[in-house]
Amino acid sequence: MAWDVSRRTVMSGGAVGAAVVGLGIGRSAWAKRPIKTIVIEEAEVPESRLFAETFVNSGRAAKIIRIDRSLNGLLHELAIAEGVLVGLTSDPAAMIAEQILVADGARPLLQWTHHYRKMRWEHRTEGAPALLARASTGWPTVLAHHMQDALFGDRQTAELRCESGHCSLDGKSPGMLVSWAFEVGVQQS
Amino acid sequence: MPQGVDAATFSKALDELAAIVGKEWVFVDELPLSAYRDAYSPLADGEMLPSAAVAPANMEQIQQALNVFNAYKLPIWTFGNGRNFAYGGPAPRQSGYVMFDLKRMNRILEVNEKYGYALVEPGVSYFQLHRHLRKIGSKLWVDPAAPGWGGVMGNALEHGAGYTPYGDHFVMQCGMEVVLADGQVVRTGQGAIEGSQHWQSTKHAAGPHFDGMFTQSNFGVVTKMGIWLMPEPPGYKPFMITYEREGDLAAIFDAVLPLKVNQVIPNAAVAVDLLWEVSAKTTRRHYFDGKGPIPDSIRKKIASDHGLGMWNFYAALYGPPPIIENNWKLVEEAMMSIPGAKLHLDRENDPAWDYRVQLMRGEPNMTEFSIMNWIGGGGHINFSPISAPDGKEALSQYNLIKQRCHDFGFDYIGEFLVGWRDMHHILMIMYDRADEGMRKSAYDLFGKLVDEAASAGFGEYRTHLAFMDQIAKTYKHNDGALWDLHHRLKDVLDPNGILSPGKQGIWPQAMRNQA
Repeated sequence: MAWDVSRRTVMSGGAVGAAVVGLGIGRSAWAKRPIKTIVIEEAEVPESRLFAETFVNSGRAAKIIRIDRSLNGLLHELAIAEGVLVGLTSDPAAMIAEQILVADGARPLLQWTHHYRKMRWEHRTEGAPALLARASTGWPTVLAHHMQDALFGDRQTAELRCESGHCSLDGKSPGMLVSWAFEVGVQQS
Repeated sequence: MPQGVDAATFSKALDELAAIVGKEWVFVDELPLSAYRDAYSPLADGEMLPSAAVAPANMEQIQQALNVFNAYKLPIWTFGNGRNFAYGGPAPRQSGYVMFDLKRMNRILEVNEKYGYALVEPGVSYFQLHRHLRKIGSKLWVDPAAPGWGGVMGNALEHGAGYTPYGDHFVMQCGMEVVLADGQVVRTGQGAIEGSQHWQSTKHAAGPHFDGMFTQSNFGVVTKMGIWLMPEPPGYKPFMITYEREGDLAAIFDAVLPLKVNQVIPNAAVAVDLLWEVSAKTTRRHYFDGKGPIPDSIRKKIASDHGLGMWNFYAALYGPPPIIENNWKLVEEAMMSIPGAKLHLDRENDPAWDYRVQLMRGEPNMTEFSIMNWIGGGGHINFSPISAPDGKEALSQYNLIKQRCHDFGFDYIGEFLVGWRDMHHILMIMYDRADEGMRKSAYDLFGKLVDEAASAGFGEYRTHLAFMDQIAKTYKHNDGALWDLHHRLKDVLDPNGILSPGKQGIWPQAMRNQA
């Protein structure tokens, strides 16, 4: 057995800093395969609800897992999930999900951040962010479509940052959110 | 790569380890190894990263793997569940260590309903034990740390605390099985008697009591541990009392000390500051978008909006209802005598109340993570000095630490937790991980607090990996005699220095000078 011990560049930082870009699944293959998509909805977070609703309305969500503010469901539900898991959640929920899923052998597909600062949303994503920049409080809907394009259609991988126009912050929003996708239990061809 | 080991030698060692645990349980690729980083590290990216991970399934595999580690002098970092966030998570003390991941060893070996204990392996979490107890119809409670995905064994070995009357987890530990560095298996206490039925019932045996030596240390690999479990009481009365002024802290602890020492309040009573308490419900940016600590005027608005005090005191009474009723009179008389105190026996739609009430009755949950939303970006390290529960001392410690937080641009976010005779002060230094300046300031603040607390006579009960050496050096009595003893033991028990080098500032001979 030969161990390739020189190729290690271990990811560092946390959910926000983790370099998941380029972890390397062939995205073009996604469109050709029927992949079950499970959406994690953090019920207390308004942006998370809107994001999940968009996935359902677009016919992409095979299942919604609703997590209450105890976050307990992340431990119980993710352990039995299989397919592509996506979510727009608070940073702690994203961190817990990442810990559980990576330890169980899941592959991170994307991880973007959305930060409310000085009356604007700042989005760090990949691909063309023009629509996100124009969206104010409805940005989770735009994001859901953008993520579907990234996962199931043509994907642009350039890392980009954009800011929305002035908008208010929902009283229930944490104001710092992470959108993420993992592939769980699906054999790569 | 482990220090001093070349690639060919390392590859050979990994082959031998794979032959013991199975190739699928030896990890060298970046993705699986990413699970072993400290997601909340206060250090710059790229520090404290492992070279590989090995996950044995049983004690025999541990023994065989230790032979390999000794033969190649590979430093390993042992952990059970690896959820020790705020103190380093599963990450190793230095880059290059091989993670010795015991998560596969997650059997609940025994639950004894009559004597109220469980015997568990390293990978058993609070959630797992709680679910198991409910499934078998047990009337025993776990005492979970917050959050509840942590390991029953790991938390006790780290001197962790919970919130029921069984909240001092190492006090509630009883009996260990330990594999020493040379592979010898030792059972402590009555476990050393062949056929003993009392290993988990009594801590005492002939000869020295060794269990403590295997906590916060690197002298052996603990593979089994007994933990006492609280029988479900016939009554439970949780409560919260809010106090209006920061200065009330002294009066709170002067009132609570006799109630604790006499076991009128049997659980870990906790005074939570305004911002910790409110952070489960809202975020800082909803009130203040500026830099630096939140102004007092805004703190007052937060308190008013959410019906909270500057301090929010949680505790509970347990037992037969007549005893609760009787003890409640004592509690009410003492704790409500402070002007402005407001009693809460229930709070509608309040996640902070909900999770505290769950914890105090032994129900694990993950809610405490939601307080990381306060800043966004979730980074945090906990500074945890320990002292006696004296009101004047608590207030003086609070004022000193709060001032330092403000000097470095941070809010004070903390709580004081009173055990039997001790007071744990947990300061959560919270920062946005994506903000390098903030992360560096958090690191600098922590280092300054360690030295200032030591000068005032306070030591920490537990710490993040990055500060273990600094804190070890604050234990200076008789020219550092205590750490000299640790090192003498280390040299005898682990002469090759393979077990978790640097854990708690205890280094093997070969690495001591560089530390």
